[in-house]
Amino acid sequence: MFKITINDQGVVELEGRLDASQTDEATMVLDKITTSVTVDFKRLEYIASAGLGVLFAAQKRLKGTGQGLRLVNLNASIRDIFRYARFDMVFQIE
Amino acid sequence: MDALKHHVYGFVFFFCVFYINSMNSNFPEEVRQKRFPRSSQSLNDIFLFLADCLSNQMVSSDASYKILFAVEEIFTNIVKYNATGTTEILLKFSTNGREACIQLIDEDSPYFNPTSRPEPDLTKPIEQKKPGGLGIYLVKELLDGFEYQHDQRTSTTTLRQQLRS
Repeated sequence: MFKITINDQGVVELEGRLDASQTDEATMVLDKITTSVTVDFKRLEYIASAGLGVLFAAQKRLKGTGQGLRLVNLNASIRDIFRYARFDMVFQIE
Repeated sequence: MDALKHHVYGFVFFFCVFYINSMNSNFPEEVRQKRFPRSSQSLNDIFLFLADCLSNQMVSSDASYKILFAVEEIFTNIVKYNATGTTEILLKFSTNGREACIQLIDEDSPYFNPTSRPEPDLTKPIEQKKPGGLGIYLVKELLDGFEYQHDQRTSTTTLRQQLRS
């Protein structure tokens, strides 16, 4: 199961498992974002390379207008995946 | 008396060899397998199958994550690049308690070797990077073993991972 929501503070919250069968739902929400936002991974257990692609596409589009995604609360395994993919150079990760 | 000593020493020697061998294989091999439809909608069932296979093992969360990540990547590659294959994909899981070996077997497949795909250039600035192409690279980086075999029309991708990495 995967959920993506934008809370009252404008933070994008990810929950569950972002695998290849869930990327449409993530894309639908991320495509609406036009300014810099925080993406909270606190309740995200798992992300596949398809999920990395969705986040990357959003980041690339936003960087084109001087905006960007700030990623917070990544678990250790997801943080490792981002590091191997060198996505720590692409995103602001805290 | 010497002959008796020889027999005793011989017995002790063979007992030690037997004991050491049994220590090395004190985890009986466990093998499970299941077929999954050639669709990304199978992923949830694949995760449930793998979670069940791993539930009897002493496995670190890191190793578990790597296994799920790699299996998803290989499975979705098969679905993407061989969508017209007529068979379901066979997933075989085996472990000796220390290492897991997972095989994804496509019995209606042309030759398509994921292990030989070129590595992406990760040093490019974001403007020059394209989404995608990372999955196979990450499987190579994350797992202890990643092999491909093709025989007749059957492709077998084998993944190996230490369970307590």
